[in-house]
Amino acid sequence: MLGPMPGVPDDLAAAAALGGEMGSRILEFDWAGHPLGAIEAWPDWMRVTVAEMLASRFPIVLWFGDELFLMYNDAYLSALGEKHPAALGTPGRLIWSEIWDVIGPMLLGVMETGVATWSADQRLALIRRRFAEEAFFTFTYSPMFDQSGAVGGIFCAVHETTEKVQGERRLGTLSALASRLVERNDSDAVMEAASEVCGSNLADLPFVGFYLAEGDSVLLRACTDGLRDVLAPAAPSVRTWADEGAGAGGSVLLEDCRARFPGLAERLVDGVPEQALLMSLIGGPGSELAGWMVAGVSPLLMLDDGYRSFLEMVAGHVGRGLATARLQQLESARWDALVELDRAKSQFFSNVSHEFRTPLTLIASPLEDVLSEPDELSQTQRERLTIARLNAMRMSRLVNNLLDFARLEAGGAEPDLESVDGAALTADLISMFRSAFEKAGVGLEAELSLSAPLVVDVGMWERIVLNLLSNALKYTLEGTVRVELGAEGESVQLSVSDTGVGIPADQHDLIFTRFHRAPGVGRSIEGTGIGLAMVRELVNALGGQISVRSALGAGATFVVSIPLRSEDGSFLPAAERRRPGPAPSDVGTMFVDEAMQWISGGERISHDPGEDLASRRTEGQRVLIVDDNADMRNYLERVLSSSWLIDTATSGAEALERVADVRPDLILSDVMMPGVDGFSLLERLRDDPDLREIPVILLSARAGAEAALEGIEAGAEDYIVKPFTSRDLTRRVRARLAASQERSSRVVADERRRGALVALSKALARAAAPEELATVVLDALADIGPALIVVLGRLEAQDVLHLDFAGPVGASMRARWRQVKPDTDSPLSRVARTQVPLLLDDSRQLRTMFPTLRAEDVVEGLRGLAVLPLSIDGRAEGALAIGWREPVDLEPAEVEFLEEVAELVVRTCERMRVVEVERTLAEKLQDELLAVPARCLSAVIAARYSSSSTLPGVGGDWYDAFELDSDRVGVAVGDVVGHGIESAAVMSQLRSVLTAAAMQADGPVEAIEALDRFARHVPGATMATAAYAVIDTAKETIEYCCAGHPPPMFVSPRGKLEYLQDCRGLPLAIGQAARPRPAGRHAFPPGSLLLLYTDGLIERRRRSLDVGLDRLHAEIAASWNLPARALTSRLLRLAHQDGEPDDDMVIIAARSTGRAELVYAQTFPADTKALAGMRAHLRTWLDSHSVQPEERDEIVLAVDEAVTNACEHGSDFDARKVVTLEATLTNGSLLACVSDSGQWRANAPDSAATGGYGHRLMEALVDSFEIHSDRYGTSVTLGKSLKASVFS
Amino acid sequence: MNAPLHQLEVQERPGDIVLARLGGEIDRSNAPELCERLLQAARGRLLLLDLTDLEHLDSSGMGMLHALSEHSRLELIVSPTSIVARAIAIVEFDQLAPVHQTPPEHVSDGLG
Repeated sequence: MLGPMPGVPDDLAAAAALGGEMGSRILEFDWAGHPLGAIEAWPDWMRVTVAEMLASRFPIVLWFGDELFLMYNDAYLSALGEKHPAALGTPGRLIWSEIWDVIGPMLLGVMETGVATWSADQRLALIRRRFAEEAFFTFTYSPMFDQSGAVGGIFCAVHETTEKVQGERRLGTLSALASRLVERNDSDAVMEAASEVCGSNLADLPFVGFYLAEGDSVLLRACTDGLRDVLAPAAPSVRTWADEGAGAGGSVLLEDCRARFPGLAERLVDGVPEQALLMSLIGGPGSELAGWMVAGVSPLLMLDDGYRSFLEMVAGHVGRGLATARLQQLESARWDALVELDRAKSQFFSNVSHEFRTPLTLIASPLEDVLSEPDELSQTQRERLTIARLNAMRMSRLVNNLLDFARLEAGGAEPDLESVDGAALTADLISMFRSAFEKAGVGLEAELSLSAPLVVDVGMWERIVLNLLSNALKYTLEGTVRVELGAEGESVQLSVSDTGVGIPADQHDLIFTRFHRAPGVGRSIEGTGIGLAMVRELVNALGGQISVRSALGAGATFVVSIPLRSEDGSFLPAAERRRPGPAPSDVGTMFVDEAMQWISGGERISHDPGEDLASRRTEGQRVLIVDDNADMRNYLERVLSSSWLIDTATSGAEALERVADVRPDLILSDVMMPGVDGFSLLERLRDDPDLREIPVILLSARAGAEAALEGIEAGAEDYIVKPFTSRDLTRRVRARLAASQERSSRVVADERRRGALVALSKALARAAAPEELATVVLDALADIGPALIVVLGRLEAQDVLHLDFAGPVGASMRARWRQVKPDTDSPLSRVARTQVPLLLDDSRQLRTMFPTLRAEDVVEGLRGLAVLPLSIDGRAEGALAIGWREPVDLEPAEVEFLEEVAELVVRTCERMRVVEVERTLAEKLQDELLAVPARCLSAVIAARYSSSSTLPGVGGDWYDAFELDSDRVGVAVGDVVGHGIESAAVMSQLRSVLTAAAMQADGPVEAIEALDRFARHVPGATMATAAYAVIDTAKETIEYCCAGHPPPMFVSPRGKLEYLQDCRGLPLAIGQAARPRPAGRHAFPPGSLLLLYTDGLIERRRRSLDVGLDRLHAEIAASWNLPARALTSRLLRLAHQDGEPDDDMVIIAARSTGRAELVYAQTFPADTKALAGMRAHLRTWLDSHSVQPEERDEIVLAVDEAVTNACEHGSDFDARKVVTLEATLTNGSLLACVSDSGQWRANAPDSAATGGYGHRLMEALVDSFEIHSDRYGTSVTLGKSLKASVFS
Repeated sequence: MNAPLHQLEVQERPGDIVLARLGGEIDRSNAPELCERLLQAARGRLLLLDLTDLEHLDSSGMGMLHALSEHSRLELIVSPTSIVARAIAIVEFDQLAPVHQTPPEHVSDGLG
């Protein structure tokens, strides 16, 4: 603590005691010998500021006098570093010489102009530790005013943000590295990305070089732009430098960069690093060394722990990026080799199969057709042909089985997993076999108790089940086969048990191997012996296992167990999840057919007894067959012609020629054709907008899922592999034709939705406020599946979700849910928060999902619900809920439609917000522009503005009034073409220029001419109009000039009206600038009234201007003797009643002060000293009308109360403000209006002197007493009918 | 218009009575100062305020009367037809202090 020091003022001593080191230093400093002078002689402002600074814990530095001598507090010491303590009392430019080029002009600017500066995170290179060091500061320089009002010094509150700024910068680099390097799969790309990221942060990484070890040599692989020739020569030395340092894994500090990298100094002009850090590039612990990174240490930074670990982290990221890239390269090479092997195998089998399949089809299918026509063959022929057909089928099966198995074994069969109802799928497969079992007299039982979804490849599962069933039937001569399906722990278990011949134990392992056939007695000896082997491969491919329990003569039980996968929890539209059910497949038919052969010895059983091909000929649908093979073409025609009209083409080219004429409903084309093959045909069809809708089925001998996928991907509707049966072909052609019909109906639905979107966007464009949007959406949906409710939730500031409802939603619910916090657990807030859509097919699930919802929170009758997120550019904006009366199951196209609706809605909200912001801004601007003149003593002035209700934004109308000198007041009004912010800017310029010109000009003509000259340089001012008048109360005249503006209205003190017509000139900024404008002049005795207005007041659509002028004339004649403020309000109100105006409107009235017979106007400063004079004038005026003394005194007292209130509460006794009084006498009654520029305060609690008496007095003394207060001011209007006067 | 707004004449009367005659006008510009002066003159004694010649008394003047009545016993003399009487009646100040039309007997003695 300091003891009291002689001569030190108390406040400074007290602050110094709190000020730590600087407190003492400032007191002890020899100020007497300093230009700032002895401490006790410091002016008050200086002493007080120094005391404040010392007492503050925020870093503050003060700059005093022209030399800007420094004073600062303890908190500022860190900014000074070693400059302290020398800095105290030293001129700023000496202390901060290194940054004077930056801060000097800022400081001097504040000294000169007194306007404060603000700098956020300003980068400065300070020398505070003997080297120039990068630092960041957020600070403001604000002026300190001395006792004369001049700037005597600068106050600077400063906050160092170096750590924050550098930290953010480094974090940015590290996260850019992390994200940029992750996807790179070769080291070149890693290097390129790394040097690019490093190049974006030269402040921390003035230069970097990446040196990679390649064998024994080291090469510079990447570096900072433009430094390759400087850094590359060092490559051979890098390994040596690293070895000389701490060893692998650590980093080595390289001194003297200039010597190590010759030429560096010439390239890096913004400071040359003296040091660099050499770091190893290693993929991770234990990984091999990939190379080194050399990073220059910024000369402006200390290599402290933070900086060093940043550099090491950069090297770490790059090292890991390199390691990952190398791994990926190895991995992808291995993968490529595998793929190539697999491809070669598939190719071989495909080629072989092609050779077999076409001839097989042409053997089997005609045989089948012949056999299906019972009357054409003798019994012997039938038997022989049946044998031929059976063998053709067997051969076909063998080929298929071999191909399937080969593919499985090659690992090429990737299961296409989907989640299905396993019990239903299995039951369908079993039922296919049921008739075969019945025929064989073997029982078939099933217990399918699996309730969890089965996640399998449906095709694989079918083969597993069918193989096992077929196997069981084959080896069971009597008894029962039992199938069970259920969950067993973590797996699904399928068991097929039979009471057949059984398998000896020593065979159990062998039966699953290829081509092994168990000895024993079955129904048939045929077979390739690959059935069970294939089952095992299929089960393995699904990640499961198969086992067998059996003994000879005791039947067998095969148990398949595959993992019970959990269903993916992510959102899938219901329609997508519900895959096509397990339709009886070709595979199934084949198995069953085969089984039937064992049982019946070849009798063919139709599984579709009701199907009679000939009777199902569909009305007029055409199929075009394209095949180069005449046999196949004829066969296909024969099969299909019973159902459809057939055209044929012998090549793809011919098909293309004919297709436009034939207009087939479906094209059936072979794939392999010379010239235009099936795929090219398909491609050309799809390219032609006219033809692209025609469904195409491709026929091919190439089997396998890949080939089929290729066909489907190319756009084929189906892909049929030879061999096929005629029945199968017919069925698939029929299915495709039906699907295309269905698709065309879907196209119609799409079009309706598109139409609805167009209608919606139009309706949204018409909506005026976001609150209406929910209703707009509900209406728009009415045409396409009407919704019950629509709820729009909009996230607004302060984290509030506003909900707007449309539909039958009760008032209490609307009120309860009008605003919710986004963290409320309700459907809309959850979707708004998570931005994940919520689709419920039944709203009864709502209360399970949202436990806090009450029953009354769910709209009655609501079933289906879709809640979609709303966002703009990734920013969450809210959610849109649409609810239906029915449970819904939305198709993907419908979901997409709703998403588009949501997008339109959120865009509309955004547009409305922009408009709203603009409108608010415009209103603010207009308010600024239309402030009523604060002070004018020679006239009472009142102005009113009303914006157009039909045009958006701010108008182009303006007005102004200003005192030219104590006798003269200028009044102006103008109108700029157009609306909105731009015209507001134009009008603000015109208004300012007119005011400025008016101050200089000798009369209104000169002022308008100056305005005209100016307007010629302002785009948007062309055709603007203006009227300007100068009222001279000493000369009792008015001079005026109009530029294309409607004529001002003059009202004499006795109520004689006159439009001032002598002043008509061209609007602004058109015609010849030089031509003289006409001037007008008129007498303006005390109490005269001038009215200026814009055309919105008189102009109406489809009406002559004269009608408007006459109307205004009549209205003013009826009310001219109202006080100016009441008159302007009334005229504006009447104008609104005169049809809705298209434009905004301005009206300004000026009544010159003085006593006239019927009116009396007075202005005075808001000072109580003016009260007595006001009363004297008012008494005189009232006496001149022979108002009775009692009434006179009552009026004077009431007016006095109003004026006192205006001085006190409206103006705070500020004599610069003006209070006005207008009084008029008409029809035996008096009207007096007292106005001020403040807000009305009735019975202000602090007005002890009046104690609320004023209000009571006014009420009792006059007949009517009205207070009108708005943002422009307050006026009190008193009315009293007089018992007797000259007018009564 | 620098003529004083009001005229004030104060007389000490026997029996701890202070008689003050007010003329002219009282408004917000002079009421506070006048109030001060009268409070000092009365110093808690009976203050008899003769407002017969007063031409204007507004709410600030009422405030002054109210303050006086809180510190002294206050009685008023008011011309019944004047605006001052009217104003006093409106704010019901006559409920707070006796209002006479002429000086009461105990003070009129010796007034001549």
